[in-house]
Amino acid sequence: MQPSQNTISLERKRFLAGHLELACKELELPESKWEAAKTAYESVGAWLNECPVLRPYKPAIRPQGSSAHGTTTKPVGRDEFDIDLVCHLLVADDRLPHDGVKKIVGDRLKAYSRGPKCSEYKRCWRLDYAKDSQMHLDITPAVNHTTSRFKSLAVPDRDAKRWQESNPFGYTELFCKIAALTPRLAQQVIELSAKAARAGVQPLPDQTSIKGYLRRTVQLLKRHRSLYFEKHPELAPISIILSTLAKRSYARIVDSQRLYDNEFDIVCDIVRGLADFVSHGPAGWLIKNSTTESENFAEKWNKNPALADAFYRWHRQAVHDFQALADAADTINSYAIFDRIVGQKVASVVRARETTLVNEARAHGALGVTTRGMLTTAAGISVAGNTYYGA
Amino acid sequence: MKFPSKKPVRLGIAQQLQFLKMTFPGSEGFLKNHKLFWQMHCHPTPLSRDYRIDLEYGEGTTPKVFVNDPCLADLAKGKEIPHLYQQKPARLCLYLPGNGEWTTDKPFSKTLIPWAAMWLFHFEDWLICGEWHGGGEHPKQPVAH
Repeated sequence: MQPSQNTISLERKRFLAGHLELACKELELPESKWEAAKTAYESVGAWLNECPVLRPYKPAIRPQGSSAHGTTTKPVGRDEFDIDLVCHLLVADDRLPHDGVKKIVGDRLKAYSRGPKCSEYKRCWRLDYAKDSQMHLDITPAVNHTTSRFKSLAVPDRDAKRWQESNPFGYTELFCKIAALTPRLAQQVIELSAKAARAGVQPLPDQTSIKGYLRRTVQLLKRHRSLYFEKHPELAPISIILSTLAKRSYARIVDSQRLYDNEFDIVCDIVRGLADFVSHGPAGWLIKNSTTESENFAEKWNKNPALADAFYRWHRQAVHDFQALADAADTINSYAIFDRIVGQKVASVVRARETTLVNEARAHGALGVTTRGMLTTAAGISVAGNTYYGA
Repeated sequence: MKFPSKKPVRLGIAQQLQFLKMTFPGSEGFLKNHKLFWQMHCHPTPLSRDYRIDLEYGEGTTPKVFVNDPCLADLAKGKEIPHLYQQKPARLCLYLPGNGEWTTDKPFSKTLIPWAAMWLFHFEDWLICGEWHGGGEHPKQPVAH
């Protein structure tokens, strides 16, 4: 008796969801590195606070962007993570000159004696740490915005030569609020992940559940984007665009109340929905930051239409690749597509992890075989010890 | 007082077939000329293609497990597949002969068939990364079949 195509497809999707989770774990900033980054930026914060010029403005350093959203993603082709931080001068506002504020923060950072090299970027100062620490800190000076309806900040923009409105903390709050929502999941999916959490051994991918659909999908999108634009990084849609569109796509999924029988479909639906939240009107392309008065994340697209084209081309490819993963004929093809989504290096780490999980489960007597000859850590016929022999 | 140790009971081909049928109800087997033939489909993981496993066993002989469909040698594209008694049709080396991993009292349903599923899992891994991560031993002498 052969199972139906639907059963096979459901099993595949559940297994793939487990693979995506393993890949995302590999892509994120490891806990130990995060602790090191925290120590580093707290030390920088103390250094800024000791500055006689800055101290009256009460500088406070806080993470923004991916490290605040929980979506850190290993960059392609290099090993360091970007840690984005805001140096918020709590009692300063945008009546101060933007270039002056940037300069006093920069001067103090350059005098920081702990060794990192300090260089200026459009909106921030970058502290480059020794290679083995695998990180750099991007510190954006910010003051309070005086005219926005939101609790926005103003950040100096070197190219525009003025303050720009930004609301990193408001954005993070909204992102985290939406990430905490849960779509409707079939009871058996909920039971599966509860069972996996209770199990003494690490479950195989068929029992591994995705930790936070929105966050994990943003990581996967950022990774796929970076791989797709590896040769033309100047055309790549910026991460905040991916986070914003994914956040709206996810909120729509939760609102729709659609019942999901597997987690992979949730990821695919988030990816598919991205383009629906880009608008184009008489003023051009618009991806509005809803936590500010006027910030348009697609502003650059209006100056360079190639960026909009590049976004749509990439998005079509991303939708195609995720769908192809669900439709792949066998393990070899699945991995070839997986390479395109997370990169060969990460895919082979996931593959090795899967093999280790199988071998460990077996060593603990937790590996079973289903009636269809499929390996599982759920109940099955347990696999006795053996030694593969032969040439 | 010493209890007499219980001697393991050898399983005949009819009992082996019954165990297999009970454990893998969707699959088929039969007895012919004092030999057991068992055929089943296997997907080691949900991503795997469908493999057909054939098991042949006559009492007093070594059980043989083959994978004929698909042809593993074709999938390996000319590379020699590890842990096989023969490459074509692929006959799997599933246990170390003589060390008690499989003995005549042990049902195939709990030994050779799960081992074959594991073997296929490691075979797919080998196809992707070129290394065998399933452990095992290589004979010093040519293997006698």
